[in-house]
Amino acid sequence: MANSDLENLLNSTQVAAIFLDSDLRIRSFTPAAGAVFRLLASDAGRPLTDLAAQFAGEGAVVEHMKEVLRTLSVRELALTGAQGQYFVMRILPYRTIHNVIDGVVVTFFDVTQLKEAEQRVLAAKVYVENIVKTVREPLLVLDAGLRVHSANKSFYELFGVSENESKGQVIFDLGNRQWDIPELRRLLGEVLPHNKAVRDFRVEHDFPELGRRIMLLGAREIPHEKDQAPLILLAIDDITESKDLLLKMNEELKHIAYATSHDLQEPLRMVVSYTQLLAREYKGKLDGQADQFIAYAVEGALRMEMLLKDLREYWSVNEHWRERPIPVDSNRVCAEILQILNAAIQESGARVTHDPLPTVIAEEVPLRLLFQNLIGNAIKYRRPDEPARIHIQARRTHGLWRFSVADNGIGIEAQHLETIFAPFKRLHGLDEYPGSGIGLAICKTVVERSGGQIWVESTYGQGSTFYYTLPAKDGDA
Amino acid sequence: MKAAQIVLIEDNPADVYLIELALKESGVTHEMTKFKSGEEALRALCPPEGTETSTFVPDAILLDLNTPKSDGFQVLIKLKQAPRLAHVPMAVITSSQAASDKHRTSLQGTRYIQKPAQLQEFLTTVGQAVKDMIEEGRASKSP
Repeated sequence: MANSDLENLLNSTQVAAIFLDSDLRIRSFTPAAGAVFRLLASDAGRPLTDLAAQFAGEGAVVEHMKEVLRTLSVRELALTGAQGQYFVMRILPYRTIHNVIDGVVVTFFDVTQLKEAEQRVLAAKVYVENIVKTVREPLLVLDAGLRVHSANKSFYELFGVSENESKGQVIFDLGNRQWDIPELRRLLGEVLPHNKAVRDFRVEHDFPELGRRIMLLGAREIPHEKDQAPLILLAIDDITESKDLLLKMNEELKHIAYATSHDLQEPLRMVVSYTQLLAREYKGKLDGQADQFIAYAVEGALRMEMLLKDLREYWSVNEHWRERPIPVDSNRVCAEILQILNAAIQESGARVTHDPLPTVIAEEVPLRLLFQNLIGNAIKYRRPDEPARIHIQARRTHGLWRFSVADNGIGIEAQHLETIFAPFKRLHGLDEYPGSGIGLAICKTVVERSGGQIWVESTYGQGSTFYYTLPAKDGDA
Repeated sequence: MKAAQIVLIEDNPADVYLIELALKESGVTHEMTKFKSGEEALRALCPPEGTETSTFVPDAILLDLNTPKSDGFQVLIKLKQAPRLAHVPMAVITSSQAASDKHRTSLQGTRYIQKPAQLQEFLTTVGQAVKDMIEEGRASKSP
């Protein structure tokens, strides 16, 4: 190759190269090397030792070059530049066209960016590892095959497994298969693949040694190495204790509400009795406005009395749930309730019919409240122009009995179908349909405490059907 | 008919008035001895053995369970144990449903009157109950 070709090549590439003679004096250098090491054309002929001062460990660099000259082997060194750059330095023997060794060629590759990227990756890894270690929530990282990739200390501590016995194990096999939880299988197998991230997935499970735990799981796919399936980060929030605390507080609040509803009875009785006495004794003796005011006071007191009475009933369903549910014949309960409601049925001209009803697992008193409220409502919310037709039946579904109480009454607008079960929820004015709005809340409590569900379907203006499920006597499907 | 002797142990003047009104409107001719607390009633009705000076035997005793300073049930038990009052009909009047459930079984032979909130119901219920008690007491006394 002609000399000028070589020079053109060296000038056009960004390769930083310095050519040294056998005494390690600078013979020539490429523009890239000139720029990096601030060499001038006049530097030609200077010994390398002047240049080597720019590098950390200069003595070693010179020694390596001497070794290359002596052994004719290629050497590669990592160097740190004065400005903190990272270089890979290659030292090769310089061969003349006559194959005579006449010095060395030193090339420099600036690997600063590569090195920095590497450090960033390392820093990120350390950062993440520290977060995982620091987080008090148990964290578990699974690979695509649901094997334990890593976990934090909290996880090992809470679930009493060691790092050694866990790593590489499929999660469901961990600690005598105690993690083989159907809900977890569903989360990892079905939910996560479609969502990539899941929060607050509730899992309740009896662990052989820990007992029953209630956990909220957060799961997320995290990108892993290139071309590999993502890892799965599983965060476990054990809410068993906070749940217990909440339940305890809830119990206390219920108790306070129950006690308060009782304690208010006595002062309220005074108000009711004496406003009524006032009305009775002084009617017509004061002026007309006074009579009206007293009437308002009586009305308010009576209304409050009714609310409290219903509230006490509601709380007593909550409070007195002591006995275990037993088989109860709902035919008998229904017949007794129809007897109690007889006056209302006669008066309104309602016709109440029912199919043979099953024996269910329930408590007698709450069950009566359920029938009484639902049938009572069906009579009460009849259409003005048509006598109520009410039919009660029950169908067997999945180990439960699904009851229905269907009427041809005024119906419920769609937007109220869910909210009508809330305590004190009323859809009508007192002058239209009196009541406190506690009946359906009682029904909901009764059904849910028995392990069932209650809901309503309705066509506004044409009638409603209330459905509820109760456990069947033998429990099978 | 001779005026019935009624003992009323009740600290709430509003209730005292309502109970007297109930007796009046039910046509119960009566004289009422009132005590504001159970202790006061016990001092007067069953003093310690030997210090007894009175031979007073009422026709009926009405006791509010929630009088201050003493447990109404303790007072009731002491009244029932007094030999002189052995044949006197006694009634507990209260607005507490819970108390009734709790102690009903321990109140053998004691009438239980729950105070209704509605005026008319109160007057009728209390008036009728006291009438029945007087009746019952006279029947048990006559041989």
